[in-house]
Amino acid sequence: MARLRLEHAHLSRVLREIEVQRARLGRDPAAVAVLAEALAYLVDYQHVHHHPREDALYQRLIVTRADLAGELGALEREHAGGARQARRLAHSIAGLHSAGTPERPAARLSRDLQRYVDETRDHMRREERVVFHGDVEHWLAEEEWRALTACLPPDDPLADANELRRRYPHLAAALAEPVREVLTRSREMVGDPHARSLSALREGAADLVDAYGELLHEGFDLARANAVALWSAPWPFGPLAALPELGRRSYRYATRCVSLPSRVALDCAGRMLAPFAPPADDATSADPG
Amino acid sequence: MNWQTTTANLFARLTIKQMMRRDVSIATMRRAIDALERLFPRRPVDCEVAHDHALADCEAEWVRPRDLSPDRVLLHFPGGAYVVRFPNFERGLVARLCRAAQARGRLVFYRLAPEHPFPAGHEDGLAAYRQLLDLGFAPQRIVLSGLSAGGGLALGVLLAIRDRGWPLPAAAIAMSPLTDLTDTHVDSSRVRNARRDAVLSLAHGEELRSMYVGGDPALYTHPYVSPAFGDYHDLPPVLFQVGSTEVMLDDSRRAASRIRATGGSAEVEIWDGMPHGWQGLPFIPDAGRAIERIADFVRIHVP
Repeated sequence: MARLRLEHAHLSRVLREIEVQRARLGRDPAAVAVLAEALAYLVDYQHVHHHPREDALYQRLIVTRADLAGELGALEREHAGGARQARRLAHSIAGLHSAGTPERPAARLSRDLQRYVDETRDHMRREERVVFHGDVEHWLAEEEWRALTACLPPDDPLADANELRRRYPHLAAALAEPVREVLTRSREMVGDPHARSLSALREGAADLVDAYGELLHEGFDLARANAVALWSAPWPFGPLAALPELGRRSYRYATRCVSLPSRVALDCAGRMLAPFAPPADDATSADPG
Repeated sequence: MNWQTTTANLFARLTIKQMMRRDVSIATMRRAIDALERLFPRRPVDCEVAHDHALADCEAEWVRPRDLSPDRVLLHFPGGAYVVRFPNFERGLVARLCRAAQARGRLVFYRLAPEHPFPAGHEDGLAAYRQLLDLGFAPQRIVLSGLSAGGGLALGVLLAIRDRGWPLPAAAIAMSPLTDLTDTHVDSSRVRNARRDAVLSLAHGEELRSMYVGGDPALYTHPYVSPAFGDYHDLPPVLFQVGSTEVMLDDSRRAASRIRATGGSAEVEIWDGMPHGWQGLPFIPDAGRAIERIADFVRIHVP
């Protein structure tokens, strides 16, 4: 069981990497190579060596734990479906590789990869709930465990860093990355003026929300202060006497309501146009002398 | 960005960020947060919340998925700039983490500043870990986690566990952690992302950090207060998750660099455009993804 649990840990590492790389499909050519190796690992090891051992275990468990027969049978069927899905995805990735221009099918493949990751995670979670973290070690007799572990498969390549680097160099390099950008949506190039202008627009919209938020809260404060001033003024003429001050405060607030968003909008417009401004000539090249 | 994240950003800008920008007292802030907390259910669906095994100086809860009795334990420290807390929000987050990672959660409501400055909260965190060991949980089945200030606290507790010679946990997870209270980096995300961050404003950051250290600025560089200055040799791996537009983006980067430089292992995930604490917002699709990735990380280090 310890070995199966460890293989789940390795599978989780690979699933996390697939999730990151599939978001880069169509933008980063390196993602294709990493995904190809990740799927090769799943097809060649997890689906060939890990799942058949789990299937053998489940078949024995069904005998001793008839109450789990339904769930164990479903898990076994999912192994077969998962293997087919992984092979299909590996084939699609290989297609992208040879096509060279992975722009069009990338989005669909990316969705399929995420679905595979989600389904595999859910499958593993159910396995852990039903079998792995149960009292499974006591469900079978010692000789049954011996029979199950009699012919263990070759070592998991993910358990040995050198072996991983030798067989799956791109995947090994990706797994060793210390920083990952997850689900990047941006196709923006740093030097592209349209992209910079769009980015300025987004920031301007956020600034505008901040400005209106500020005004909203100020408005609440003002309304409360005005109500308190009116309420606490001595009757009958106190409230009347307080009105000019209230009017001045309200007027100041009204002008802020007009000026603050306008200032933010103008500032935003300036920043949106800035990327399109011609670069400033440097004085030395312009100066003939 | 999807509409759920945009809506969350808009709401946060109009509420929490405004509150942090305005000159309001801690009491007012706590009242406002109590009102916001009503948006989150008190009891997470499908999880039991229990209050047994009380801690001496602070409240703590067990959060356990109903149909499971897992041996993995997630020791979680909530966020809130060390001065406020969001119990319903954090309980929901821990419940989803526990369900995804097949773990039981221990949610520790450590003592808050300004009433209880450092090291009160830090000691509560250590006491919670010690209690887990005393209750018989294997350290290699325990994962520390924390959100925001709680992430910084988790790293500080991790350093203290090693320094005291206690058995180490299996791993740590820091979600948008606050790891550097010195604030001396001029060209940092605190400045670059000040406008882009939808949740946090550091307009009153100086007052808040001063409250946490009880007015003693010498403590800002203490590794238990600012874990970005810690020495991480012999410590278990740490996962950082942070949004690309957060003011505290560089806190994660800097702490991870420090961890690697001092012999530890750290992985940083920078999530595109996600707001501070998005993992706890169940209606954001990327929150589910982030939680799944944390669960994978837990499975990798606690197989």
